[in-house]
Amino acid sequence: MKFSELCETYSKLEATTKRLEMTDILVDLLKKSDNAIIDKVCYLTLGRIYPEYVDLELGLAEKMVAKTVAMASGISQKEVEKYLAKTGDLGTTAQELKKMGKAQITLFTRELTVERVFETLDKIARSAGTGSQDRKVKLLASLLLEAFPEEAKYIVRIVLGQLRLGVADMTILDALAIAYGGGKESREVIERSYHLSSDVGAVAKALADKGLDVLKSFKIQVGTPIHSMLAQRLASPEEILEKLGGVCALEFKFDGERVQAHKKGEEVLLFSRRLENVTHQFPDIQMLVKDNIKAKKCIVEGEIVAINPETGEMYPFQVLMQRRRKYGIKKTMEKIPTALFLFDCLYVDEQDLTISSYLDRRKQLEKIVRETEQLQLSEKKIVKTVEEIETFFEQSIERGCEGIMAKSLDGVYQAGARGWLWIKYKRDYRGPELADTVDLVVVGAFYGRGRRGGTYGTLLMAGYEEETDMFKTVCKLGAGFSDENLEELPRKLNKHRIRDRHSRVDSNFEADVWFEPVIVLEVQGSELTLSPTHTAAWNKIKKNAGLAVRFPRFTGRFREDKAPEQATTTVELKEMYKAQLKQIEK
Amino acid sequence: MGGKFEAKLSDARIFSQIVDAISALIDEGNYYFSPDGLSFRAMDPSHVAMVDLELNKAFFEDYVCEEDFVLGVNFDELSKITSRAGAGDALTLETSEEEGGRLRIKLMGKATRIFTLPILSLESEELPRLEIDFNVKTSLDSDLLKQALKDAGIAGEYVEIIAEDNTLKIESRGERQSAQISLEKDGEGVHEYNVSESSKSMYAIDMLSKMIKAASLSDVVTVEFSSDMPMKFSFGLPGQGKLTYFLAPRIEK
Repeated sequence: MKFSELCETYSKLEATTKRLEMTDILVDLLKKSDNAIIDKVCYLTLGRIYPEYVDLELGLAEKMVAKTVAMASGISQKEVEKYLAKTGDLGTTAQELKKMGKAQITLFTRELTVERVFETLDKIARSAGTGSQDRKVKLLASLLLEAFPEEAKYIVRIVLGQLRLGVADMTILDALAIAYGGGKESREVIERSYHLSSDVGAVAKALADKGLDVLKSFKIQVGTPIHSMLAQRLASPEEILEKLGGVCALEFKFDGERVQAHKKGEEVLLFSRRLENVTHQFPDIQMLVKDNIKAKKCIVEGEIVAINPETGEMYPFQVLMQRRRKYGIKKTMEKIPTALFLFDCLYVDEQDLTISSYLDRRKQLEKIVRETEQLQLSEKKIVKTVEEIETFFEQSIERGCEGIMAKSLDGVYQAGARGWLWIKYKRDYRGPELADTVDLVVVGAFYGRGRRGGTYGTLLMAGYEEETDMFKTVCKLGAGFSDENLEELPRKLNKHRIRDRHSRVDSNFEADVWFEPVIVLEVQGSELTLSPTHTAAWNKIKKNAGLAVRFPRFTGRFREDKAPEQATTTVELKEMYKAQLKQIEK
Repeated sequence: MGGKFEAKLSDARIFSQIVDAISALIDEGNYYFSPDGLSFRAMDPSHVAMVDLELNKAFFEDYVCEEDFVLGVNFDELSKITSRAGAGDALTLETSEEEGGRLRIKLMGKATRIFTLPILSLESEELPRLEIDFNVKTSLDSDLLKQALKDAGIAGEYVEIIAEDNTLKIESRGERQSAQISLEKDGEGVHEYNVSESSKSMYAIDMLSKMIKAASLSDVVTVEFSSDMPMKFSFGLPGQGKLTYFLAPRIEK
């Protein structure tokens, strides 16, 4: 497939913000793609070259890419940087500069194919060691030298991780269902294999190659992360018991980092909730799992918690985040030791347990774990009354947990889904503040004045609506920022700046600046109110009204462990609103 | 890989120099061995330059190759081994089947040293042999060209090479400096100078200076080019062998 065909599709995608149109464009693209490269087409369209969990990066900083653009367009690096300052986008810069000047040519000029672009990017990612920067630059040059201006634009954006077509994994699944699944009815099967493999490309390839039936019997692979099952939230034990049919299992909800451990013989891999391979951050946890889990092959889930080495008490989440680093792990490991509390088990010795009930999975887990001081099973209790839930909740708070999880006894493991089989119950309503903080996604910003002149005054924040895979606004956030935050934020945000409102963002505000929905911030509000302008839970509580967070304040906590789809959902906001009403009634 | 393969050379250092000359541009590639000798053709990662090596059986003291085979190597790894060759060392190349195929390199001097390195299976994109009729062909002392390129490198990143009837000019221009080198048709060190059409072309100096590293292998280099066409350097090697480089020009769009 010619790379220029792919680029044509990309410019069509860029021209629309309508989800349905995007899906149609993607259906055409996927139908046109050879089975042999359909996985690669998916990765490239998502602006990457591998599934998210693969621990390989292209490793080319903007400066190096600018250098290559200079070489490919025959213009000095200084001029490239001047141009870049004007356009703010190296992709557009490359496109414009390719149209002028003198340039180096290659020995055999051939039209770029998707295969060649992909293979070259793969080689760039795999170049390591001495001289690898130079090799990466040369490999990128081999593409840019032969690229048409428009091709150069998209190659540069992919390399910098700035493709930003507004296409999400879910959009591709929609298109796959239409292109190869025989219609929308196939969406569920396709989505399940996607959640079990965390790999859109692999699903696309299996589907295009062998048809829908193959996906129905999709097998879990140890070593490939599974999308985590997520929980809904309710604000009272009464509601929880009612929702779960009068009986449920309770577990402590630890204030740590959720992790999925894959064990295959002596080999142990750890994946974060965002599917990052975090094995190298936790050699201690890796060892614990290797030594104390008896199954040869298994996938288990738990929460890693930081422990105060002097008191044995649990540290809050922020302390654990200091372990998020590349270097100096050993030293930090001594300062911040960790423990792992296991709560689920998805696969044991060739047996897929995601289709088993909670009780069966828990039984398996108890069988394969040898508990130690650092490796424990999460506290569990089966309850039938509100009093039992309240007592268990108080115990959890005493232990330093952030609340409890209530789980349906016969519930299966719904990979990647946020259903009512798991319900979280966190801190109680405490008067002048909202019962709990919310995690919201930055989708836009408004310029500031005075002390914040020249930077952003307020941020437009959104919650996630699962039903539509959209981000719905709930507040403008301007309070709670420290000077450090104010300095840090534009740097973080500008990487995700886009020209127009993102196709997955629903807003009645015209922001000064738009962002891709990526950055998640923890926000404390005073209450939730009905709003005539914010789009969260629109029409869900009252006709022509959405929900807004009142007096929102940034808590200082960047939720880098959360993907935007893991932000507080509009359904959760609705539940919080209802809970608040009940409090007032009391 | 089947059949026996063994190649012996009494002067290990010439092989080492060939490996160095290639590895300046190429990081990995395939050697093609046949009963008549070996060949190697690869482009640098940016696809701007190409190396073409041909060594006949006669280059070696002993050469046994029972059937054709391909041997992929990483030049970083290979040059680390061959650069250990000292004066008077002899060299033997052999293949061994162990661990999925390895190349065994023996250096024999006061001690016998045996190194092995893995044989890579590289996707072999068969590159065409470049056959171009150039308008300019000149043979000159390789050191003369090497020094000229060094001079030009002081000023800028690109050189313009201009062939007139009786003079070859090498010019470079930077933001602050410039350099111009002239070589006369009848000048010392110029052995052949044929210009069928005046030509002018521009090339990247860092690539040229990597290509001229092969000057250590041969006293004479043959340079060929035409306007806005590639530049070709060829170096003769013992036993009618040849090391050839091609470099694509920089042109006006």
